[in-house]
Amino acid sequence: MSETAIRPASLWDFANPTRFLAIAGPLIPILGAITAALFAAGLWMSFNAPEDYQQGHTVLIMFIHVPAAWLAMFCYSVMAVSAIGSLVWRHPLADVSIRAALPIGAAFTLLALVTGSLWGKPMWGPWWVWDARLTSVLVLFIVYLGLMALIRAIEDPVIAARSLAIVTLVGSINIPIIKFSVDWWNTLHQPASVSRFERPAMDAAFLYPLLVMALAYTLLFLTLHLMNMRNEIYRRRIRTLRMQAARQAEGA
Amino acid sequence: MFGPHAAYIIPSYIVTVLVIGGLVIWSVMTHRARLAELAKLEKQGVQRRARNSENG
Amino acid sequence: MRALFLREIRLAGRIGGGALTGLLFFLAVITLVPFAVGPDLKLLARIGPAMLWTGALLSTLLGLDRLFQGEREDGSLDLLLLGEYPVALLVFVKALAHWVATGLPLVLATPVFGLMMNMEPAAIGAVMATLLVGTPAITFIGAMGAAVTVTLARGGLLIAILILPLVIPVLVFGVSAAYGAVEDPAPFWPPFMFLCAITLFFSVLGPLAAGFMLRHAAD
Repeated sequence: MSETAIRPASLWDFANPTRFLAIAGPLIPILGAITAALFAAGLWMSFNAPEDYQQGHTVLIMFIHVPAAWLAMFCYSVMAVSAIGSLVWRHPLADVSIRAALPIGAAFTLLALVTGSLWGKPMWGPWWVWDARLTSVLVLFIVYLGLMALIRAIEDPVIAARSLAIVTLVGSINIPIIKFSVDWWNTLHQPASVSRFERPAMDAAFLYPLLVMALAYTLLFLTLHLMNMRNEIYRRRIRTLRMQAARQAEGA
Repeated sequence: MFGPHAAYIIPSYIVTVLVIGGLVIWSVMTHRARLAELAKLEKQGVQRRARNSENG
Repeated sequence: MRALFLREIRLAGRIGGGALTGLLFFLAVITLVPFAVGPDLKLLARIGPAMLWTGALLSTLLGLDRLFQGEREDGSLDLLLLGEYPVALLVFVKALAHWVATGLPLVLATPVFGLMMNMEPAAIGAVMATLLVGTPAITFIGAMGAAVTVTLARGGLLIAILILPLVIPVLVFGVSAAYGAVEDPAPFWPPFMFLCAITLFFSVLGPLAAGFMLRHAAD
């Protein structure tokens, strides 16, 4: 407690949930408006992009698929950084941040998997191939689900926060290993049977809409993250109030 | 209007809208529910203790 | 330390301990395979290494929730945590003993199951070698999962969900090395070395994370 008072660092200004709420409150509508505008612009640009000579109209799926995949990973990075904050500095909002990011990350990973499958079917033939990239994203999805199961299983909030942070961190160390091992596994067992869609340089006509969409997704994540963090703080307040009420009722 | 692959393009957009829309609606609804809950508790006269972590 | 090690092994050896259950589960999995894919001997020989690895992995996962549960229940876990040794070292010794009691029998039973799968001697040897090196990694990662779920009444299934993504690299390299020994173009040594590296890596990371978790779950 005294630590918070002494440190001048700016990040600690956010350590106070009340102050966080004061800052997040007006920020959320602004961010939401910018997100909506970016989505409108990004979608307009996407639908006006020329047809790809190889992919035809399916290139439209890219504009929603690729940002979802990026965000799935970005969200896990946010959680890993928050886990460090929670374990090392005991930052009070770090745990809130991990919890708030969890469902969003899982949703984006699910989106990346489903839209990827819908894109893969007309391009490759099968709905799903055990390609290195697909498999590692699937593993990421399992990690998200496991973490969600974990916080639901532990009742004590302090232990839940610790466990969540530790498992998140261990998972983040492992994701590169999984990626690497699965890459290797794929080259061993499936010698390039799928023609992976990869072009060295993307045409500007596709690149700009993609970038705008990616920015829109990122801001969407930030908005949702702030909203969920706010909800989580309220949830904790309600919990303390309930317990206090119960205690008062007992005392009276 | 999306060529021969409309059957894949349209569902992928629908899924995206559903999932993102679901997330947004879920967040907003939770926010409202939490605020209502807090107001109800306050009405019942439960006061938040002035804790250090809350007042900084 | 040695006393702890020996005590662990003695406890696991008793009836109801993890050793026998794991072995029987392994047998059950291997027995199911021919029923599922059909009794074609050539096919069995081909998928044999992969099936042996999957079975060993599942039965290792099965016994993990018992790693700290007993100590937690009778309170000796707190005594161990208050002792003079670093917690990570304690977890390391406990995990090692757990592996000797439950993992090693699986490795030793592999030749029998390998014969049931109609595998060549070379393949059986490769699977044994990879299991010998690889299963400790599963136990060490599992120690972390067991520490996380030790306070939960219904933790058993949760361990499997949490640990499954983390053991995928072990499985990938283990099976690659086992196939590398039999099939010509694939190499044996590189994946085998990777497997050793992963085991060493997790023998440090697993006990550290588990020790950290136990210390904080205790207070």
